[in-house]
Amino acid sequence: MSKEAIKFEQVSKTFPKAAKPSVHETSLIVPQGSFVTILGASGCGKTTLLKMVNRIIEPTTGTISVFGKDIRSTPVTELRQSIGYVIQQVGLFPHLTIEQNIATVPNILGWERRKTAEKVDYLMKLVHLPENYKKLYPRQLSGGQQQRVGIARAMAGDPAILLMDEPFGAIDAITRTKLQDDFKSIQQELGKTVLFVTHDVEEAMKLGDRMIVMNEGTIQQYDTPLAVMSKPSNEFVSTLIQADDLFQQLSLMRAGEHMTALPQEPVGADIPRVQTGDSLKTVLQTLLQHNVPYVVVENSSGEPVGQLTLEQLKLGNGK
Amino acid sequence: MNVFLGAYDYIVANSDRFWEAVRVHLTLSVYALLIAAVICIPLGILCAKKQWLTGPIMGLFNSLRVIPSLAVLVIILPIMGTGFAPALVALTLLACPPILINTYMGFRGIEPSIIEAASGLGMGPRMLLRKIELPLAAPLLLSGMKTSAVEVVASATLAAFIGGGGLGTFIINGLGMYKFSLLLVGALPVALLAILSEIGFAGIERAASKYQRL
Ligand SMILES: Nc1ncnc2c1ncn2[C@@H]1O[C@H](COP(=O)(O)OP(=O)(O)OP(=O)(O)O)[C@@H](O)[C@H]1O
Ligand SMILES: [Mg+2]
Repeated sequence: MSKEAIKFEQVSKTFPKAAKPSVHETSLIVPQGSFVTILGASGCGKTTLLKMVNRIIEPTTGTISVFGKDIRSTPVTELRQSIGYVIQQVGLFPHLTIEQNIATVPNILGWERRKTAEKVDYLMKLVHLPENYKKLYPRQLSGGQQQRVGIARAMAGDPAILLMDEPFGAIDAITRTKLQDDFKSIQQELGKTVLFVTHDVEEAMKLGDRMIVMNEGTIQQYDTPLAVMSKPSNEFVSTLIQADDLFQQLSLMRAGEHMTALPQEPVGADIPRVQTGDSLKTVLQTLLQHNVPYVVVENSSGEPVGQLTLEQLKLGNGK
Repeated sequence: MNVFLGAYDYIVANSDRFWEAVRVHLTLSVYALLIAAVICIPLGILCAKKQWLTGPIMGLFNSLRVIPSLAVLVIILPIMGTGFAPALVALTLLACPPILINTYMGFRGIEPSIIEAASGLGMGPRMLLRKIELPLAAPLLLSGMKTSAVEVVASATLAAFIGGGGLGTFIINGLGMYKFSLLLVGALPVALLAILSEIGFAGIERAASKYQRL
Protein backbone atom coordinates (compact mmCIF):
# COMPACT_ATOMS: atom_id res chain seq x y z
CA MET A 1 0.00 0.00 0.00
CA SER A 2 1.43 3.34 -0.93
CA LYS A 3 1.65 6.09 1.64
CA GLU A 4 0.87 9.71 1.04
CA ALA A 5 4.20 11.44 0.51
CA ILE A 6 2.78 14.92 -0.01
CA LYS A 7 -0.75 16.01 0.76
CA PHE A 8 -2.28 19.38 -0.06
CA GLU A 9 -5.48 20.18 1.81
CA GLN A 10 -7.38 23.21 0.58
CA VAL A 11 -4.14 25.03 -0.05
CA SER A 12 -4.19 28.41 -1.75
CA LYS A 13 -1.71 31.20 -2.24
CA THR A 14 -2.39 34.86 -2.80
CA PHE A 15 0.71 37.03 -2.85
CA PRO A 16 0.55 40.28 -0.91
CA LYS A 17 -1.01 43.02 -3.01
CA ALA A 18 -1.96 40.54 -5.76
CA ALA A 19 -5.46 40.94 -7.17
CA LYS A 20 -6.16 37.22 -7.44
CA PRO A 21 -4.67 34.02 -6.07
CA SER A 22 -1.66 32.54 -7.84
CA VAL A 23 -2.84 29.13 -6.68
CA HIS A 24 -6.56 28.66 -6.02
CA GLU A 25 -7.75 26.30 -3.34
CA THR A 26 -6.15 22.98 -4.14
CA SER A 27 -6.26 19.53 -2.59
CA LEU A 28 -4.15 16.72 -3.92
CA ILE A 29 -2.12 13.71 -2.88
CA VAL A 30 1.24 12.64 -4.20
CA PRO A 31 1.68 8.94 -3.36
CA GLN A 32 5.03 7.73 -2.10
CA GLY A 33 7.39 6.62 -4.84
CA SER A 34 5.47 8.33 -7.61
CA PHE A 35 6.84 10.75 -10.16
CA VAL A 36 4.36 13.58 -10.56
CA THR A 37 4.91 16.26 -13.17
CA ILE A 38 3.26 19.67 -13.09
CA LEU A 39 2.50 21.03 -16.53
CA GLY A 40 1.11 24.37 -17.56
CA ALA A 41 1.78 27.63 -19.34
CA SER A 42 4.05 30.32 -17.94
CA GLY A 43 2.62 32.08 -14.90
CA CYS A 44 -0.05 29.49 -14.14
CA GLY A 45 1.32 28.86 -10.65
CA LYS A 46 3.47 25.73 -11.07
CA THR A 47 6.43 27.13 -9.21
CA THR A 48 4.20 28.55 -6.50
CA LEU A 49 2.57 25.16 -5.97
CA LEU A 50 5.96 23.45 -5.78
CA LYS A 51 7.66 25.94 -3.50
CA MET A 52 4.93 25.74 -0.91
CA VAL A 53 6.06 22.19 -0.16
CA ASN A 54 9.45 23.27 1.20
CA ARG A 55 8.08 26.53 2.53
CA ILE A 56 10.01 28.83 0.25
CA ILE A 57 6.51 30.17 -0.27
CA GLU A 58 4.06 30.02 2.64
CA PRO A 59 0.49 29.11 1.70
CA THR A 60 -2.19 31.67 2.43
CA THR A 61 -4.67 29.00 3.45
CA GLY A 62 -4.71 25.27 3.94
CA THR A 63 -2.31 22.64 5.13
CA ILE A 64 0.45 20.71 3.44
CA SER A 65 1.71 17.54 5.03
CA VAL A 66 4.68 15.39 4.19
CA PHE A 67 4.34 11.75 5.19
CA GLY A 68 1.39 12.66 7.33
CA LYS A 69 3.12 15.46 9.18
CA ASP A 70 2.16 19.12 8.84
CA ILE A 71 5.18 20.85 7.32
CA ARG A 72 4.80 23.68 9.81
CA SER A 73 5.47 21.33 12.69
CA THR A 74 9.21 20.98 11.95
CA PRO A 75 11.73 23.82 11.83
CA VAL A 76 11.97 25.06 8.27
CA THR A 77 15.68 24.26 7.90
CA GLU A 78 15.11 20.68 9.03
CA LEU A 79 12.19 20.30 6.66
CA ARG A 80 14.31 21.49 3.75
CA GLN A 81 17.23 19.25 4.66
CA SER A 82 14.85 16.32 4.31
CA ILE A 83 13.48 17.39 0.91
CA GLY A 84 15.70 17.58 -2.17
CA TYR A 85 15.39 20.77 -4.21
CA VAL A 86 16.59 21.30 -7.77
CA ILE A 87 16.05 24.47 -9.81
CA GLN A 88 16.51 25.43 -13.42
CA GLN A 89 19.38 27.83 -12.71
CA VAL A 90 21.04 24.97 -10.80
CA GLY A 91 22.49 27.40 -8.26
CA LEU A 92 25.74 25.56 -7.61
CA PHE A 93 28.09 27.34 -5.23
CA PRO A 94 30.79 28.70 -7.54
CA HIS A 95 33.47 28.97 -4.85
CA LEU A 96 33.15 25.34 -3.80
CA THR A 97 34.35 22.25 -5.62
CA ILE A 98 31.92 19.71 -7.06
CA GLU A 99 32.65 17.46 -4.11
CA GLN A 100 31.97 20.24 -1.60
CA ASN A 101 28.81 21.24 -3.43
CA ILE A 102 27.43 17.71 -3.23
CA ALA A 103 28.42 17.47 0.43
CA THR A 104 26.37 20.55 1.37
CA VAL A 105 23.57 18.81 3.23
CA PRO A 106 25.81 16.15 4.87
CA ASN A 107 27.96 19.02 6.12
CA ILE A 108 24.95 20.87 7.50
CA LEU A 109 23.89 17.65 9.20
CA GLY A 110 27.39 17.18 10.57
CA TRP A 111 28.04 13.76 9.11
CA GLU A 112 31.39 12.06 9.68
CA ARG A 113 33.92 12.73 6.93
CA ARG A 114 34.13 9.09 5.90
CA LYS A 115 30.38 8.80 5.53
CA THR A 116 30.18 12.06 3.56
CA ALA A 117 33.02 11.06 1.25
CA GLU A 118 31.40 7.70 0.56
CA LYS A 119 28.08 9.39 -0.15
CA VAL A 120 29.72 11.81 -2.58
CA ASP A 121 31.42 8.93 -4.42
CA TYR A 122 28.18 7.00 -4.58
CA LEU A 123 26.17 9.97 -5.86
CA MET A 124 28.71 10.96 -8.49
CA LYS A 125 28.56 7.43 -9.86
CA LEU A 126 24.77 7.48 -9.68
CA VAL A 127 24.44 10.64 -11.76
CA HIS A 128 27.20 9.52 -14.14
CA LEU A 129 29.84 12.07 -13.27
CA PRO A 130 33.47 10.97 -13.66
CA GLU A 131 35.27 10.65 -10.37
CA ASN A 132 38.01 13.10 -11.36
CA TYR A 133 35.45 15.92 -11.47
CA LYS A 134 35.38 16.01 -7.69
CA LYS A 135 38.03 18.68 -7.35
CA LEU A 136 36.74 20.83 -10.21
CA TYR A 137 34.70 23.99 -9.77
CA PRO A 138 31.18 24.38 -11.20
CA ARG A 139 32.17 26.73 -13.99
CA GLN A 140 34.50 24.12 -15.40
CA LEU A 141 31.49 21.90 -16.17
CA SER A 142 28.93 22.03 -18.97
CA GLY A 143 25.32 22.96 -18.24
CA GLY A 144 24.19 19.35 -18.33
CA GLN A 145 26.97 18.24 -16.02
CA GLN A 146 26.21 21.07 -13.65
CA GLN A 147 22.62 19.91 -13.37
CA ARG A 148 23.85 16.38 -12.63
CA VAL A 149 25.75 17.90 -9.74
CA GLY A 150 22.59 19.79 -8.77
CA ILE A 151 20.68 16.52 -8.62
CA ALA A 152 23.43 14.76 -6.68
CA ARG A 153 23.56 17.65 -4.22
CA ALA A 154 19.80 17.50 -3.73
CA MET A 155 19.96 13.78 -2.99
CA ALA A 156 22.90 13.84 -0.60
CA GLY A 157 20.82 13.95 2.54
CA ASP A 158 18.82 10.88 1.41
CA PRO A 159 15.57 12.80 1.00
CA ALA A 160 12.50 10.70 0.27
CA ILE A 161 11.06 13.58 -1.73
CA LEU A 162 12.60 15.66 -4.51
CA LEU A 163 11.14 18.96 -5.69
CA MET A 164 12.33 20.01 -9.12
CA ASP A 165 11.51 23.27 -10.89
CA GLU A 166 12.18 22.94 -14.62
CA PRO A 167 15.53 21.29 -13.90
CA PHE A 168 16.21 20.54 -17.56
CA GLY A 169 14.62 23.69 -18.95
CA ALA A 170 17.87 25.41 -19.90
CA ILE A 171 19.57 22.38 -21.38
CA ASP A 172 19.87 21.49 -25.07
CA ALA A 173 17.52 18.83 -26.46
CA ILE A 174 20.00 16.00 -26.82
CA THR A 175 21.54 16.43 -23.38
CA ARG A 176 18.08 16.87 -21.93
CA THR A 177 16.87 13.54 -23.27
CA LYS A 178 19.85 11.81 -21.71
CA LEU A 179 19.31 13.57 -18.40
CA GLN A 180 15.62 12.66 -18.41
CA ASP A 181 16.35 9.00 -19.06
CA ASP A 182 19.08 8.86 -16.44
CA PHE A 183 17.05 10.66 -13.84
CA LYS A 184 13.93 8.58 -14.43
CA SER A 185 15.87 5.38 -13.89
CA ILE A 186 17.49 6.78 -10.74
CA GLN A 187 14.07 7.70 -9.43
CA GLN A 188 12.68 4.24 -10.14
CA GLU A 189 15.70 2.49 -8.70
CA LEU A 190 15.65 4.44 -5.47
CA GLY A 191 11.88 4.82 -5.19
CA LYS A 192 12.05 8.56 -4.63
CA THR A 193 8.89 10.64 -4.69
CA VAL A 194 9.32 13.41 -7.23
CA LEU A 195 7.31 16.56 -7.86
CA PHE A 196 8.58 18.00 -11.11
CA VAL A 197 7.59 21.27 -12.79
CA THR A 198 7.89 21.59 -16.55
CA HIS A 199 6.21 23.46 -19.34
CA ASP A 200 7.22 20.85 -21.88
CA VAL A 201 4.29 18.52 -22.66
CA GLU A 202 6.55 15.77 -23.86
CA GLU A 203 8.71 15.93 -20.75
CA ALA A 204 5.68 15.89 -18.47
CA MET A 205 4.31 12.78 -20.17
CA LYS A 206 7.58 10.96 -20.53
CA LEU A 207 8.70 11.36 -16.93
CA GLY A 208 5.46 11.44 -15.02
CA ASP A 209 3.60 8.46 -13.63
CA ARG A 210 0.96 11.03 -13.09
CA MET A 211 0.72 14.59 -14.28
CA ILE A 212 -0.92 17.72 -12.96
CA VAL A 213 -2.17 20.05 -15.66
CA MET A 214 -2.57 23.60 -14.38
CA ASN A 215 -4.12 26.73 -15.76
CA GLU A 216 -4.42 30.11 -14.04
CA GLY A 217 -3.80 28.73 -10.61
CA THR A 218 -6.16 25.77 -10.72
CA ILE A 219 -5.56 22.12 -11.42
CA GLN A 220 -7.37 21.12 -14.60
CA GLN A 221 -6.53 17.44 -14.47
CA TYR A 222 -4.45 15.15 -12.29
CA ASP A 223 -4.06 11.75 -13.87
CA THR A 224 -1.72 9.42 -15.70
CA PRO A 225 -0.24 10.81 -18.89
CA LEU A 226 -2.19 8.27 -20.85
CA ALA A 227 -5.48 9.28 -19.32
CA VAL A 228 -4.70 12.95 -19.81
CA MET A 229 -3.83 12.26 -23.40
CA SER A 230 -6.80 10.05 -24.18
CA LYS A 231 -9.41 11.63 -21.93
CA PRO A 232 -8.55 15.28 -21.46
CA SER A 233 -10.89 16.65 -18.81
CA ASN A 234 -11.68 19.86 -20.64
CA GLU A 235 -11.00 22.10 -23.58
CA PHE A 236 -7.91 23.62 -22.01
CA VAL A 237 -6.21 20.31 -21.41
CA SER A 238 -6.94 18.98 -24.84
CA THR A 239 -5.66 22.15 -26.46
CA LEU A 240 -2.53 22.08 -24.39
CA ILE A 241 -1.86 18.45 -25.18
CA GLN A 242 -2.68 18.72 -28.84
CA ALA A 243 -0.66 21.85 -29.17
CA ASP A 244 2.23 19.47 -29.15
CA ASP A 245 0.59 17.15 -31.71
CA LEU A 246 1.21 14.09 -29.63
CA PHE A 247 -1.73 12.21 -31.07
CA GLN A 248 -0.63 13.17 -34.48
CA GLN A 249 2.83 11.92 -33.72
CA LEU A 250 1.44 8.67 -32.40
CA SER A 251 -0.72 8.25 -35.45
CA LEU A 252 2.32 8.65 -37.65
CA MET A 253 4.39 5.99 -35.90
CA ARG A 254 4.13 2.31 -36.83
CA ALA A 255 3.99 -0.46 -34.29
CA GLY A 256 6.56 -2.49 -36.22
CA GLU A 257 9.15 0.26 -35.83
CA HIS A 258 8.78 0.65 -32.09
CA MET A 259 8.04 -2.83 -30.75
CA THR A 260 10.45 -4.72 -28.55
CA ALA A 261 11.18 -8.44 -28.31
CA LEU A 262 8.47 -10.71 -26.95
CA PRO A 263 8.91 -12.04 -23.44
CA GLN A 264 10.21 -15.62 -23.12
CA GLU A 265 7.09 -16.99 -21.45
CA PRO A 266 4.18 -17.88 -23.71
CA VAL A 267 1.86 -15.03 -24.56
CA GLY A 268 -1.48 -15.13 -22.81
CA ALA A 269 -4.44 -15.78 -25.05
CA ASP A 270 -6.28 -12.77 -23.65
CA ILE A 271 -3.59 -10.34 -24.83
CA PRO A 272 -4.90 -8.31 -27.76
CA ARG A 273 -2.98 -8.22 -31.01
CA VAL A 274 -2.12 -5.45 -33.43
CA GLN A 275 -0.45 -5.44 -36.85
CA THR A 276 3.08 -4.20 -37.52
CA GLY A 277 1.61 -1.63 -39.84
CA ASP A 278 -0.83 -0.27 -37.23
CA SER A 279 -0.18 3.19 -35.85
CA LEU A 280 0.77 3.72 -32.23
CA LYS A 281 -2.49 5.57 -31.85
CA THR A 282 -4.32 2.34 -32.63
CA VAL A 283 -2.04 0.54 -30.19
CA LEU A 284 -2.89 3.07 -27.52
CA GLN A 285 -6.60 2.68 -28.12
CA THR A 286 -6.27 -1.09 -27.93
CA LEU A 287 -4.30 -0.87 -24.70
CA LEU A 288 -6.90 1.39 -23.16
CA GLN A 289 -9.92 -0.53 -24.37
CA HIS A 290 -8.65 -3.83 -23.05
CA ASN A 291 -6.95 -2.37 -19.99
CA VAL A 292 -3.86 -4.55 -20.42
CA PRO A 293 -0.20 -3.81 -19.72
CA TYR A 294 0.92 -4.70 -23.26
CA VAL A 295 -0.18 -5.80 -26.71
CA VAL A 296 1.37 -8.33 -29.04
CA VAL A 297 2.45 -7.14 -32.45
CA GLU A 298 1.96 -9.64 -35.25
CA ASN A 299 3.22 -9.56 -38.81
CA SER A 300 1.07 -9.80 -41.91
CA SER A 301 1.05 -13.60 -41.71
CA GLY A 302 -0.31 -13.49 -38.17
CA GLU A 303 2.85 -14.57 -36.33
CA PRO A 304 3.69 -12.69 -33.09
CA VAL A 305 6.91 -10.73 -33.67
CA GLY A 306 7.05 -8.25 -30.82
CA GLN A 307 5.25 -6.41 -28.06
CA LEU A 308 4.42 -2.87 -27.04
CA THR A 309 3.74 -1.66 -23.48
CA LEU A 310 2.08 1.44 -22.12
CA GLU A 311 5.46 2.39 -20.72
CA GLN A 312 6.99 2.34 -24.17
CA LEU A 313 4.27 4.49 -25.60
CA LYS A 314 4.82 6.97 -22.85
CA LEU A 315 8.56 7.01 -23.35
CA GLY A 316 8.49 6.59 -27.08
CA ASN A 317 6.33 9.49 -28.06
CA GLY A 318 8.03 12.16 -30.07
CA LYS A 319 10.99 9.98 -30.97
CA MET B 1 71.43 61.85 -4.11
CA ASN B 2 72.34 64.16 -1.27
CA VAL B 3 68.79 64.49 -0.09
CA PHE B 4 68.43 60.73 0.18
CA LEU B 5 71.66 60.48 2.11
CA GLY B 6 70.46 63.32 4.28
CA ALA B 7 67.21 61.50 4.94
CA TYR B 8 69.09 58.32 5.75
CA ASP B 9 71.43 60.12 8.12
CA TYR B 10 68.47 61.71 9.83
CA ILE B 11 66.79 58.38 10.35
CA VAL B 12 69.96 56.84 11.77
CA ALA B 13 70.53 59.80 14.05
CA ASN B 14 66.91 59.95 15.22
CA SER B 15 65.92 56.32 14.96
CA ASP B 16 63.79 56.48 18.12
CA ARG B 17 61.70 59.34 16.80
CA PHE B 18 61.46 57.74 13.38
CA TRP B 19 60.22 54.37 14.60
CA GLU B 20 57.83 55.99 17.03
CA ALA B 21 56.36 57.95 14.11
CA VAL B 22 56.07 54.77 12.03
CA ARG B 23 54.37 53.03 14.94
CA VAL B 24 51.86 55.83 15.43
CA HIS B 25 51.21 56.01 11.69
CA LEU B 26 50.55 52.29 11.48
CA THR B 27 48.45 52.23 14.65
CA LEU B 28 46.29 55.05 13.35
CA SER B 29 45.86 53.39 9.96
CA VAL B 30 45.17 49.89 11.25
CA TYR B 31 42.71 51.10 13.88
CA ALA B 32 40.91 53.31 11.42
CA LEU B 33 40.63 50.46 8.96
CA LEU B 34 39.48 47.96 11.56
CA ILE B 35 36.87 50.27 13.05
CA ALA B 36 35.61 51.16 9.59
CA ALA B 37 35.39 47.46 8.69
CA VAL B 38 33.56 46.59 11.89
CA ILE B 39 31.02 49.32 11.23
CA CYS B 40 30.68 49.21 7.49
CA ILE B 41 30.70 45.51 6.65
CA PRO B 42 27.57 44.78 8.73
CA LEU B 43 26.02 48.03 7.51
CA GLY B 44 26.74 47.12 3.90
CA ILE B 45 25.21 43.68 4.41
CA LEU B 46 22.16 45.24 6.02
CA CYS B 47 21.76 47.65 3.11
CA ALA B 48 22.02 44.80 0.61
CA LYS B 49 19.27 42.88 2.42
CA LYS B 50 16.95 45.73 3.33
CA GLN B 51 16.46 47.80 0.25
CA TRP B 52 14.76 50.69 2.05
CA LEU B 53 17.96 51.31 4.05
CA THR B 54 20.11 51.60 0.96
CA GLY B 55 19.10 55.12 -0.07
CA PRO B 56 19.70 56.95 3.20
CA ILE B 57 22.85 55.10 4.27
CA MET B 58 24.55 55.08 0.90
CA GLY B 59 23.68 58.74 0.41
CA LEU B 60 25.19 59.66 3.75
CA PHE B 61 28.46 57.85 3.10
CA ASN B 62 28.72 58.95 -0.48
CA SER B 63 28.47 62.57 0.59
CA LEU B 64 31.26 61.89 3.08
CA ARG B 65 33.33 60.71 0.18
CA VAL B 66 33.08 64.03 -1.59
CA ILE B 67 34.69 65.88 1.31
CA PRO B 68 38.50 65.96 0.87
CA SER B 69 40.53 64.32 3.62
CA LEU B 70 42.06 67.56 4.78
CA ALA B 71 38.64 69.15 5.09
CA VAL B 72 37.49 66.27 7.28
CA LEU B 73 40.42 66.92 9.57
CA VAL B 74 39.68 70.61 9.68
CA ILE B 75 36.04 69.97 10.51
CA ILE B 76 36.97 67.57 13.30
CA LEU B 77 39.45 69.99 14.83
CA PRO B 78 37.00 72.42 16.45
CA ILE B 79 34.83 69.53 17.63
CA MET B 80 37.41 67.22 19.13
CA GLY B 81 40.51 69.32 19.45
CA THR B 82 43.92 67.95 18.62
CA GLY B 83 45.65 64.64 19.17
CA PHE B 84 45.38 60.97 18.33
CA ALA B 85 41.63 60.51 18.87
CA PRO B 86 40.33 63.15 16.44
CA ALA B 87 42.83 61.96 13.85
CA LEU B 88 41.51 58.43 14.28
CA VAL B 89 37.91 59.57 13.90
CA ALA B 90 38.72 61.48 10.74
CA LEU B 91 40.59 58.56 9.22
CA THR B 92 37.84 56.14 10.13
CA LEU B 93 35.31 58.34 8.34
CA LEU B 94 37.57 58.31 5.32
CA ALA B 95 37.89 54.54 5.35
CA CYS B 96 34.16 53.93 5.52
CA PRO B 97 32.73 54.66 2.05
CA PRO B 98 34.80 52.21 -0.03
CA ILE B 99 34.22 49.38 2.43
CA LEU B 100 30.51 50.10 2.73
CA ILE B 101 29.90 50.43 -0.98
CA ASN B 102 31.95 47.40 -1.94
CA THR B 103 30.34 45.23 0.72
CA TYR B 104 26.96 46.29 -0.56
CA MET B 105 27.87 45.57 -4.16
CA GLY B 106 29.49 42.29 -3.23
CA PHE B 107 26.32 41.06 -1.57
CA ARG B 108 23.96 42.47 -4.19
CA GLY B 109 26.02 40.82 -6.89
CA ILE B 110 25.37 37.31 -5.64
CA GLU B 111 23.20 35.34 -8.03
CA PRO B 112 19.74 35.00 -6.36
CA SER B 113 19.50 31.39 -7.53
CA ILE B 114 22.57 30.54 -5.42
CA ILE B 115 20.86 31.91 -2.34
CA GLU B 116 17.65 30.10 -3.25
CA ALA B 117 19.49 26.81 -3.69
CA ALA B 118 21.33 27.23 -0.40
CA SER B 119 18.24 28.01 1.63
CA GLY B 120 16.30 25.38 -0.28
CA LEU B 121 18.83 22.81 0.90
CA GLY B 122 18.18 23.87 4.46
CA MET B 123 20.93 26.34 5.31
CA GLY B 124 19.94 28.75 8.07
CA PRO B 125 20.66 32.47 7.67
CA ARG B 126 23.88 32.36 9.68
CA MET B 127 25.34 29.43 7.81
CA LEU B 128 24.27 31.01 4.54
CA LEU B 129 26.17 34.15 5.47
CA ARG B 130 29.28 32.32 6.58
CA LYS B 131 29.52 29.61 3.94
CA ILE B 132 28.03 31.25 0.90
CA GLU B 133 27.46 34.99 1.01
CA LEU B 134 30.66 36.17 2.68
CA PRO B 135 32.98 34.05 0.52
CA LEU B 136 31.17 35.15 -2.64
CA ALA B 137 31.21 38.81 -1.66
CA ALA B 138 34.80 38.58 -0.42
CA PRO B 139 36.65 39.62 -3.59
CA LEU B 140 34.73 42.88 -3.88
CA LEU B 141 34.74 43.46 -0.16
CA LEU B 142 38.51 43.03 -0.03
CA SER B 143 38.98 45.35 -2.94
CA GLY B 144 37.07 47.97 -0.93
CA MET B 145 39.37 47.31 2.01
CA LYS B 146 42.33 47.79 -0.29
CA THR B 147 41.10 51.17 -1.49
CA SER B 148 40.42 52.21 2.10
CA ALA B 149 43.78 50.99 3.32
CA VAL B 150 45.73 52.93 0.72
CA GLU B 151 43.63 56.02 1.31
CA VAL B 152 44.02 55.79 5.08
CA VAL B 153 47.77 55.18 5.02
CA ALA B 154 48.24 58.15 2.74
CA SER B 155 45.86 60.39 4.65
CA ALA B 156 47.27 59.47 8.03
CA THR B 157 50.04 61.86 6.98
CA LEU B 158 47.56 64.66 7.48
CA ALA B 159 46.99 63.60 11.07
CA ALA B 160 50.15 65.51 11.93
CA PHE B 161 48.31 68.71 11.10
CA ILE B 162 46.06 68.20 14.08
CA GLY B 163 48.77 66.86 16.31
CA GLY B 164 47.96 63.21 15.76
CA GLY B 165 51.59 62.30 15.17
CA GLY B 166 52.82 59.81 12.62
CA LEU B 167 55.09 60.16 9.63
CA GLY B 168 53.34 63.34 8.58
CA THR B 169 55.22 65.16 11.34
CA PHE B 170 58.44 64.89 9.32
CA ILE B 171 56.74 66.17 6.22
CA ILE B 172 55.32 69.20 7.99
CA ASN B 173 58.62 69.96 9.63
CA GLY B 174 60.49 69.42 6.37
CA LEU B 175 58.14 71.79 4.61
CA GLY B 176 58.41 74.35 7.39
CA MET B 177 62.19 74.29 7.43
CA TYR B 178 62.59 73.97 3.67
CA LYS B 179 64.48 70.74 4.33
CA PHE B 180 63.73 68.40 1.51
CA SER B 181 65.62 65.51 3.10
CA LEU B 182 63.46 65.72 6.23
CA LEU B 183 60.36 65.74 4.06
CA LEU B 184 61.54 62.50 2.48
CA VAL B 185 61.92 60.89 5.89
CA GLY B 186 58.15 61.10 6.10
CA ALA B 187 57.12 60.77 2.47
CA LEU B 188 59.13 57.72 1.42
CA PRO B 189 57.94 55.40 4.20
CA VAL B 190 54.34 56.55 3.63
CA ALA B 191 54.62 55.73 -0.05
CA LEU B 192 56.17 52.39 0.81
CA LEU B 193 53.42 51.57 3.32
CA ALA B 194 50.73 52.52 0.82
CA ILE B 195 52.26 50.29 -1.83
CA LEU B 196 52.67 47.43 0.64
CA SER B 197 49.05 47.60 1.74
CA GLU B 198 47.95 47.70 -1.88
CA ILE B 199 50.03 44.63 -2.67
CA GLY B 200 48.96 42.85 0.50
CA PHE B 201 45.23 43.30 -0.07
CA ALA B 202 45.55 42.57 -3.77
CA GLY B 203 47.14 39.26 -2.81
CA ILE B 204 44.35 38.31 -0.42
CA GLU B 205 41.79 39.41 -2.96
CA ARG B 206 43.37 37.17 -5.59
CA ALA B 207 43.35 34.23 -3.22
CA ALA B 208 39.67 34.82 -2.43
CA SER B 209 38.68 34.89 -6.09
CA LYS B 210 40.88 32.02 -7.24
CA TYR B 211 37.86 29.91 -8.15
CA GLN B 212 36.87 32.48 -10.79
CA ARG B 213 40.03 31.95 -12.79
CA LEU B 214 40.35 28.18 -12.95
N1 LIG C 1 6.88 36.58 -5.08
C1 LIG C 1 5.79 36.90 -5.79
N2 LIG C 1 5.11 38.02 -5.54
C2 LIG C 1 4.00 38.34 -6.24
N3 LIG C 1 3.50 37.60 -7.25
C3 LIG C 1 4.13 36.46 -7.56
C4 LIG C 1 5.32 36.05 -6.86
N4 LIG C 1 5.74 34.87 -7.38
C5 LIG C 1 4.86 34.57 -8.36
N5 LIG C 1 3.91 35.52 -8.48
C6 LIG C 1 2.79 35.50 -9.43
O1 LIG C 1 2.10 34.28 -9.28
C7 LIG C 1 1.73 33.76 -10.53
C8 LIG C 1 2.25 32.36 -10.68
O2 LIG C 1 3.67 32.38 -10.69
P1 LIG C 1 4.55 31.09 -10.80
O3 LIG C 1 5.96 31.51 -10.67
O4 LIG C 1 4.06 30.07 -9.85
O5 LIG C 1 4.26 30.61 -12.29
P2 LIG C 1 4.90 29.41 -13.11
O6 LIG C 1 3.78 28.54 -13.53
O7 LIG C 1 5.98 28.77 -12.35
O8 LIG C 1 5.47 30.16 -14.37
P3 LIG C 1 6.80 29.89 -15.22
O9 LIG C 1 6.53 28.74 -16.12
O10 LIG C 1 7.00 31.17 -15.97
O11 LIG C 1 7.90 29.61 -14.24
C9 LIG C 1 2.25 34.71 -11.58
O12 LIG C 1 1.19 35.53 -11.98
C10 LIG C 1 3.29 35.52 -10.86
O13 LIG C 1 3.34 36.83 -11.35
MG1 LIG D 1 8.10 28.66 -12.61
